[in-house]
Amino acid sequence: MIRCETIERWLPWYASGQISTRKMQVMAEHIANCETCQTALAKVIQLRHRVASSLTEAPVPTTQVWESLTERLPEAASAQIDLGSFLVGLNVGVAAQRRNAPVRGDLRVLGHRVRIIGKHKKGA
Amino acid sequence: MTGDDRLLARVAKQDRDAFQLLYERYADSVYRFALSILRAPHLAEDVLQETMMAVWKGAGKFRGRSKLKTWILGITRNQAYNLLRGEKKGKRLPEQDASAAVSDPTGSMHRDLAVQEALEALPEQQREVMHLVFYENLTVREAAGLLGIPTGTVKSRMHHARLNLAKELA
Repeated sequence: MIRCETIERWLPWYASGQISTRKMQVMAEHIANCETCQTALAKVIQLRHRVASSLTEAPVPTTQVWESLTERLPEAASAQIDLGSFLVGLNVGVAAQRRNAPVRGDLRVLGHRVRIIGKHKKGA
Repeated sequence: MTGDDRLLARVAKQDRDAFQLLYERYADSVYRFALSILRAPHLAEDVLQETMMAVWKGAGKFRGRSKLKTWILGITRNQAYNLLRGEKKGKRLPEQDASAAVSDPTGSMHRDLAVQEALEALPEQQREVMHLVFYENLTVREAAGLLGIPTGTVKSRMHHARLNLAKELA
C-alpha cells in the first residue's frame, strides 16, 4: 500500500504526466480513494498552471543575440574554385562566401595561405 | 532517430540553416532558464550566445544519452554558473543595475506578478528545480541528471519549493 507522503512527493510529475504508466496507475488508484491526496493534487495542478503561465510570458532574447552569434560562426564558402598543382604545392583558390557574398582569393604555397583578394578575417 | 537528432546531425556537419532552426527552437528555453539563474537579461543573453556556440562546436559529440533539450539546458546551466562565478570574483562590471533584473523588455507586464515575485524569492536551488519541472516538464530522472544530484534530492527540493511558493502566494 503506497503512503500519502510518497504520493505527495510525486504529484508534480503526476500532474504533468511525466512518470511511468505503472506509477501513474498506482497513484491514480490511491488518489481516487484519498481526499487528502485529491486536495494536494488540485493545489499542485493550480500552482503548476500559474508557474508555467508566468514563465511562458517571461521575456524572450533580443534579435541581437542571433546576429552576434552569426558573426562568430566560421564563414561558409558557397562556391569555391581551386587552380594549380598540389604536386608542386602551389595553387590559387577563389571562393564566394554567403555573408554579403564577398569574393575571396587566396594564394596557397606549400600549405601557407596568403589572401590576395578580399579582407583578412580575424582568426582565419 | 527523432527530428531533434536529425537536426543536430546536420548542425554537426556545420549546416547553418539547421543551426538557425535549432536556435529558433531552443533560444527562448535557454534564455529563460539562464534568466531564472542569473536574473539579469544582459547576462542571460551572454549565456544564450555561449550555449549556442557550445552546441555548434559540440554537436558531433552528443551521444543521445539524454533528450536534446536536456543536454542544451545542461550546457546553459554550466555556462550560467561559470558566468556567475566570474561575476562574483569581479571579473566583469555589471552593465545594468539590479532593477534591470526584473525589467520586462518585451512589455509583457501582464505576467502574474505575484508568482514572478514568489519565484524570485525562492532559494536558487529550488527555483531551478521548479523551472525545470513545471516549465520544461522534465522527469525526475532528467532533472537529476541535468543538476547532477540524486532523484530523491530533486523530489525534496521540489517539495520545499512548492511549500515556499504556496507560503509566498497565500
